[in-house]
Amino acid sequence: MSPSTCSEAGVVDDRIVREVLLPADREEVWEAITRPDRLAEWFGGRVEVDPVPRGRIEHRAPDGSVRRGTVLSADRPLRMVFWWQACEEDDPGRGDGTRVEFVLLEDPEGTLLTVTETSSQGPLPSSLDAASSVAPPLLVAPR
Amino acid sequence: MKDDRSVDAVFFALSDPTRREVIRRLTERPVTATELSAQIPVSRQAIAKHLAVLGEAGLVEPERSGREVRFRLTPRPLGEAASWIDDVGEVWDRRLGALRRHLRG
Repeated sequence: MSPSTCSEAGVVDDRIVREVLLPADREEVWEAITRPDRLAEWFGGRVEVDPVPRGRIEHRAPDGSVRRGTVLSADRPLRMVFWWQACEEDDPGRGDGTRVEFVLLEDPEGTLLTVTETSSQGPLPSSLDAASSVAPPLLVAPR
Repeated sequence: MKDDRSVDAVFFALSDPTRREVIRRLTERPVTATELSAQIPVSRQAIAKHLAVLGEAGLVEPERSGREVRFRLTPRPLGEAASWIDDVGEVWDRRLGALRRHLRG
């Protein structure tokens, strides 16, 4: 049973999906979603992310709230997935986390960025492979 | 933003078609587990498990009337789950708008 399955005519959907067409190539968008100085320009608050598998991510929002988590997969400049959860200061975290996925697709006018945030993710997955295995079909072409 | 754990419990509870059917039945009136198992083609035992999951998510509450226990819908967490969708969606709308402006430079 998968909580994020939107079968049954989409009655249940615990995902937020947003697509935006950005006037920049994928490398530039990748920088904008991974470099702290670029993230500071648009994310709101301060973000630090180490865009490698098992890398750390931390977001300090302007209201003082903190989210921390772990990068599950990073495939420059195609896709980054991380898991994060709300934390108190000096606290390992409370509640279950959410999974955030950025997918960057080439477009004649720039880059199509898709962001998906999924609830019902429970604690940090013990296996990063399992957690990041739901790759979009376009990106899993055979090698 | 609502506590992530309670929102997760609601989404998990809603992820099962039988539990959604239970909720639909309960919107009409409070019913017993036995009545539910007569209306929905699963065993009474299974209904009891589904009611327990719905109870953990705060979506149903037992109420005793005489020797019977009826379950009634307590829909408030549904609104909280919907507001999680709204809150998180709004945050991303704002961020991605800012990202587009940033990249236009």
